[in-house]
Amino acid sequence: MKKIIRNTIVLAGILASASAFSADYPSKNIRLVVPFGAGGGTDSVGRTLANSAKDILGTNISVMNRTGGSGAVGMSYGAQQRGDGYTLTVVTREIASLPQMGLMQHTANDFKLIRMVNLDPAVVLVNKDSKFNNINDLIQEAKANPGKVKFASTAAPNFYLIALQKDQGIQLNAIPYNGSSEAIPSVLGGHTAVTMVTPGEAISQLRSGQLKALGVMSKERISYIPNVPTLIEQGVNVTSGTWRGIGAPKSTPDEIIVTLGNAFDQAMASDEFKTFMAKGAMTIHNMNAAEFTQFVKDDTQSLGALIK
Amino acid sequence: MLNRNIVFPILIIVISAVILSLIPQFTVPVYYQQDASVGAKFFPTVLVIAQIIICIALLVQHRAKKHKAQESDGLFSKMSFFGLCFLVVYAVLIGLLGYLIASLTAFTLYLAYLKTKKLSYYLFAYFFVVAIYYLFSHVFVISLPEGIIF
Amino acid sequence: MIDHLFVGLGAAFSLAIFPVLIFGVLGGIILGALPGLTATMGVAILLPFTFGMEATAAMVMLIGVYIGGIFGGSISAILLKTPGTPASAATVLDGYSLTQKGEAARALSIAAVASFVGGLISTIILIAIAPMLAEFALRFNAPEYFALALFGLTIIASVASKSILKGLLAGTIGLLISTVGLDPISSVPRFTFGILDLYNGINVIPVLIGLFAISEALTQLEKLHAKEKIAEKFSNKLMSLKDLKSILPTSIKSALFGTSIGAVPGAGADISAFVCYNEAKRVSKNPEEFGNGSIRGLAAAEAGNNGVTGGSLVPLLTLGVPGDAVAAVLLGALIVQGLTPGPLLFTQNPEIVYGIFSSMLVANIAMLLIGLLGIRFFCQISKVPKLLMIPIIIFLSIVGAYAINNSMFDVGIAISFGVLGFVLNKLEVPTSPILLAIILGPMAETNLRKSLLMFEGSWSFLYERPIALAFILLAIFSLWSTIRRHRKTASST
Repeated sequence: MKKIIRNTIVLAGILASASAFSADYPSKNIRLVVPFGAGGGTDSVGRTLANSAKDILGTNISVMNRTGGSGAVGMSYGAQQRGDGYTLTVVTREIASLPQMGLMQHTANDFKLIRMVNLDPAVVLVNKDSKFNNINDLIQEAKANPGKVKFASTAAPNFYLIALQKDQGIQLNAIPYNGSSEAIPSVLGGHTAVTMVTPGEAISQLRSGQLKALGVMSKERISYIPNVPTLIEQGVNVTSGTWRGIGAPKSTPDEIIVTLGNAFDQAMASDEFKTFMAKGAMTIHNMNAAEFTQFVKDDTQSLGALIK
Repeated sequence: MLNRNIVFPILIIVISAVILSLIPQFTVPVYYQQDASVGAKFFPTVLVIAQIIICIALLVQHRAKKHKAQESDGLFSKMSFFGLCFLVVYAVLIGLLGYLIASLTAFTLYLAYLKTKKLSYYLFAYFFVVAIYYLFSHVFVISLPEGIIF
Repeated sequence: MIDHLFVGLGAAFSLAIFPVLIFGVLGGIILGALPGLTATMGVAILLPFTFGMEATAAMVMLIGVYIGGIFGGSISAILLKTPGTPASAATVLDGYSLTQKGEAARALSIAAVASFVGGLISTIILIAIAPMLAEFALRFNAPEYFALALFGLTIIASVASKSILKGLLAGTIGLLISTVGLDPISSVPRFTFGILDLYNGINVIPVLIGLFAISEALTQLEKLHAKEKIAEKFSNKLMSLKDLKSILPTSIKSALFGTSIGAVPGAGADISAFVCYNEAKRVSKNPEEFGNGSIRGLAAAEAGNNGVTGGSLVPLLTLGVPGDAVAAVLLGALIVQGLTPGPLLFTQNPEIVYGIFSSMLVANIAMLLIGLLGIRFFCQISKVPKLLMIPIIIFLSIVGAYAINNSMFDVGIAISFGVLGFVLNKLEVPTSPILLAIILGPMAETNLRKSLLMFEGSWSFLYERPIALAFILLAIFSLWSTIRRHRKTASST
């Protein structure tokens, strides 16, 4: 612990001298707007990242939960703040989907995106006693009985499912639950047949074998669940998942974005953050500002295709 | 005879009617999720109608009972009106000045309005405001409202 | 199992853990007592600090905050009619009446003892039959939640003491308010008027603060002006042995109810407190005491909300599924420590499981001691002159309403509901049904529609699923007995 503190102090020193030209930023506390409630996945990633970054930046980062509208309230709030680098926002995939559904006025263009933090694929999960053993079993059943297979959806609409439905021309009976903490028990209790969540949300059930994974919706296998094949391996060319990153209001000066970007690079590379993410079975996916901006643009387009 | 036991139910009925007229205007979002046979409009409609029926029943009941003449203390006294104004002024002040300064100002205004002369009250009030400020911002690290000016 | 428990108890009293536990409980009580700060927030804020801690110590601290937080809300509910958390809303009904009679010390001691009984029994059940309770909890799904919510809503009629009609009116007002926001099934915006802050509906905590705390401040302000010198009664007397005898059966029963409700994911301490209160009133020989300072009513609400604490850990520890928001943070804390909550935890890390169990036992004892020893100190609060107390309540209310979501919009909601509550009090319309309806309304509506989706439009789930059917029968029974009770009191007066 002491070592970490000493290291970060040294790092902070290096950083402070390197970015001396960008005035004396930061000179006061930074607020990090989290658009979801205290205690959720987005909140804990935000808090841990803030905790790791605060020593690097040499200032306190206080987390501000601003919930509502599936993230719309918090992200809109963050977009409207002064662009002085003292209000940052955790942006989530909802910034790409909600505006296209007419549920949010602000878009990713209202932010200067700083870094992507994590990118996690969805995993298709069924009860351990389920008759489905791979994704094709599920697709066969859905084709034979359209609209009959009960799907525990973590959100309405659920883009993981829609991606699969559109690609395979199938229809499941999607029942909207309030997040994975309701959807998982529903599958465990046998009330619904299948759900899709990120690995981190179901890691304890996957480890204990209460849930069976039919496939992961990424291009390559995930290190946390190496035995689970991708859908692509099973001949179903669908990928889907969710991501989180950090953004600042559009008007924030570029020097500050650079300073923050460097700080978050180090925070994401810190032992504390890496352990936290690994334990929670979440995949750190550091993308720089330009890559992240392009990524969000592409994802917005692919979501647009699903919505229409 | 207009008393509150008649005015209030009628007011609720009027409000309910307005709400009822709003329900058909619910707009369906761009991506329309599948919905149950009982849709988004069902619950509000049932509730508004139930509310109107209850209010009518209240009116009937009032008429049937023939209440003894009520001692009519007004709905809002001078003090409760002051309290309401105080709340609104305080909220606006927070928006302008931030929590700390707004609270100190509002507390002073309150005690002055009530013509308190005890210095200890003022000191206690200021101590309390600062203590809460410290507790939130430094112990719990919860950000308190910042004003536009400060 | 017993030796594991003894090792755990030894650890709970060790120098490394005991101070952390006391810190957690004390911190939880303070957080809980402040309106707007909930146990969930306290636990979430502390989470990053646990990363560097040893696993048992981390869990002990968080659980201490949880247990303390649920109890802390009751202190302000009893003394100031300002429930610190929604879980204490039912405590106001009788707790504050006792304070008005000058029996604050008695009320606080009863609350501490009942909370202790609730927490203790709930912990024992957790230790003894957690896996069985988990099986029961997994059988709950949309139809059962709908039926449970329906049963909960019948309490509205029971809470309305004077006029059932006015109680029902408050209920429909609350239910209508609960429909504001994006409809959870089809995302249709309802009564949002394009205001983004309304998309998630109206948050229950600012409503709670407005209806209870702010409206009370306005009422007190009015009395202040009237200059009626009502002699402020105050007695230092704690509860008597007779009181203890009288509340013990109710407390035990409520603890059992609370544990079962807590074990079901998605139903928490707020619902439990009301259900237990209702049940105590139903079986009481003199139900007219309820709402006028019944010690049984107070004990039922208190044992009921603290009874949830053990129950909510059932799905977390046995299935790895969080039963409520606090449990979700605890799940995160366990996972960060490299542990896997769920069936594996019992076999792989029994020391953690039994560490948690034994520290819960100790935390409940700590809560009882702090609660009892603190009474003198807490009671000083009710000796603060009203002139000063009123603005303090207002300040705490505003800060609390803001803090829950960092939003001035919520402050506006709290003020509006403060005025609404004040007016409704004048009209003798009870306000707690509004709160109950806002908590249960979305649960009833969403789960009814979810059930209809699951069963493809058929209503058969209402009688084909035994648990759902049981709750529906309970709801009918509860309504029937309330109406009968009202008839009786109407004919006797």
